[in-house]
Amino acid sequence: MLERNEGAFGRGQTPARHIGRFEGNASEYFGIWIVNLLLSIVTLGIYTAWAKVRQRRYFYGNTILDGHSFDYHAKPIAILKGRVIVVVALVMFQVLSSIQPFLILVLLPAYIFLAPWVFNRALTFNARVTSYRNVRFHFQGRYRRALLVFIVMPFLTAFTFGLLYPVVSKMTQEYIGDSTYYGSEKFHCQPRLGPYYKNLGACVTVAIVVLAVTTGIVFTVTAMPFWDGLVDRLAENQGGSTGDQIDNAFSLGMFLMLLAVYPVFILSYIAYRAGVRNITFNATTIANQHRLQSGLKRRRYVWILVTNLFAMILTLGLLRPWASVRTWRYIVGHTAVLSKGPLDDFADKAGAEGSVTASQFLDIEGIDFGL
Amino acid sequence: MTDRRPQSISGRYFEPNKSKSRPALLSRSGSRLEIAVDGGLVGAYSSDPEISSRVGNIPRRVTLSDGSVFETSDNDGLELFFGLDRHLSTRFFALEKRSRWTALVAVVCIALVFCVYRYGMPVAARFAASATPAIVSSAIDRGALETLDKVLFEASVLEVHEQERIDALFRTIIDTAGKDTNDFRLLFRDGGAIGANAFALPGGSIVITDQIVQLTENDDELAGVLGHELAHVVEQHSLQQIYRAVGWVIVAGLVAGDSGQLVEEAVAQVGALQSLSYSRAFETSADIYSARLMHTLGRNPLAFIDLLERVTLECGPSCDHSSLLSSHPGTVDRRRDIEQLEFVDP
Repeated sequence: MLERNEGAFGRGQTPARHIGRFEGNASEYFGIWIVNLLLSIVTLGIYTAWAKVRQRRYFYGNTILDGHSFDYHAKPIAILKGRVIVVVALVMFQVLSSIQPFLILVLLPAYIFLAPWVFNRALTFNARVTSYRNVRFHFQGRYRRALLVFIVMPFLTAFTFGLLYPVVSKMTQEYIGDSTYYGSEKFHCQPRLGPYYKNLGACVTVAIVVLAVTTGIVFTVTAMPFWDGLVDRLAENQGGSTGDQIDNAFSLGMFLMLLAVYPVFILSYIAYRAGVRNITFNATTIANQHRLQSGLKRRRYVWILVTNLFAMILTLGLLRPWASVRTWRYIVGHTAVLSKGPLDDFADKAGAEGSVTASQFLDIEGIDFGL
Repeated sequence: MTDRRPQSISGRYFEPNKSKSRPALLSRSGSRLEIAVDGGLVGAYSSDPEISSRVGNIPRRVTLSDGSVFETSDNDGLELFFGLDRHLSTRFFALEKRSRWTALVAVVCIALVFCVYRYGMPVAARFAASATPAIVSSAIDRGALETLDKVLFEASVLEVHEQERIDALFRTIIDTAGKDTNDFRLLFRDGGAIGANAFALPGGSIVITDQIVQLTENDDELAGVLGHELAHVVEQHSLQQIYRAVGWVIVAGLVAGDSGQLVEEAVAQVGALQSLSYSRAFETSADIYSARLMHTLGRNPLAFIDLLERVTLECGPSCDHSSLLSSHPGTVDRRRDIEQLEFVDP
């Protein structure tokens, strides 16, 4: 599974490889999920904060590395407060921008300068509420760096037809990885740029091939005689004229093709993200003796997500717990730590960090990316 | 009952904030909790520990008063040891493991989700729309007009007497509908890029462009359009649209928020399609409202469909069929819907 990319790190000694294992299962999670859903609906969404904590604890608590599980410690009340703030802000934004559309000119700069702070707080929150072996993770972000990687770089990328995108991916991942701590020990994330471009190249190539094949099929089909008859009948059914047959056939063909562009784009983005995770993890070490490893297969990962989606659609969403467990199990099972030393000599940072102000921040930080 | 309560629980002991663990035994001596490692006592605690709640069968943490942690995978044993098995929440969440019960919950959930989606959201949006104070909807009008005037519209070039004539026609229609003429105002604009068009804002402002006035062949057509736009205001369609959009964002975020990105993408697309079909339903409803008004006024209820056909001719073949992807029904469907009214003679 994880044979590649040991690099100079593993040579000489024989490091132990601890591969992740997920011990949850779909039928057990189904019960938890469906009760969460029921209570969330019945309480008009208020319970979602508690549901989120139970869901996270199930997944973290069943994720095992070297015989120990992870845990999730967020307080539902903090998450609820965060959500109320998010919902109020959303509604206010919608109403205000309906009343005064030019307000966006004021809100946009405010958003741009607040966003790095919000991202840092959210990353801090997520790290702080995650633990492994009784030791919590931490995140220590810097505003300027966050402004650069989350706002300035994506902005520049928009003007380079996405050519800078791998640079943004590298900088973002590097920033997150290098600002994360396990206890008092800092992660070191030093990926090279090359692999990120290679990853983009591979994903774009596959996307282009898929689109070319789709185009070929669409134009072959639209050139066939039955196609015009079909378009004719469609036009008749709608009561329209049949005069612009060729035009109709062509535009329907174009339409079908455009319909394919969007999913192909989304799927190649997912593949790209899987590649980025591999590259970043494989370049991350901690305490000079443990290296992270990630060996997601891009196509396999996309396949899992696509089949999950179809399974959910066909079962009115009832297979969602199965899908979540399946995805998580794949990710965890393809993640490992390569250790030259014991994994149990870490210590949490001295408790001083929990100042009153910070805890106020933490409350607001309940806002996380998934809403 | 008490005899089946375990005397001790085996698990792992962590010193405060340390990742090193040792196999340990948790037991009780009098009112004190004791932790033993390799037969030797490492801690005794008289105050109550904090016990993490049960989720599936994940390991439980017992956090002791000095910050040290006892962790065990023996969920059932732990619950018996601390007497948690009698707690209401323990009993409630034990239902998660009963397949017959969860199947029932699943059926209830599907029914509830369907009801929220089909009835709850439209009803909530209608309620929110009717609860919206007039001052807010007229503020929306002002803001929208200000923007449109800056980016899209030019001043109308229609003759003043022509404007007055159409305004009088509009007032007659409002009267016929039994509404107060002070609640509405008709505005004339040069449509610029959007050409022949008419639309209604939630606060009662109705805008018609010079281009659509020039396309009309008789007053029946114009009256039909005005009646249609009036219906949008009276039935609060645009306010409901705003609230439904917000509602969808919130519901989708809460229900599908924690899933993989593909699911969120799919939900967002469904939401967009859904709002288009809502919007087509509103158009049909406004058509019927207008047709009834025209009938009362003794005007031709189908006239404005003729006008719409002329408008779509200008916009090309892609406009005249309604489909999953359009915000308005096609004129063919709209004509058919009006022809189905009892007083209309096709």
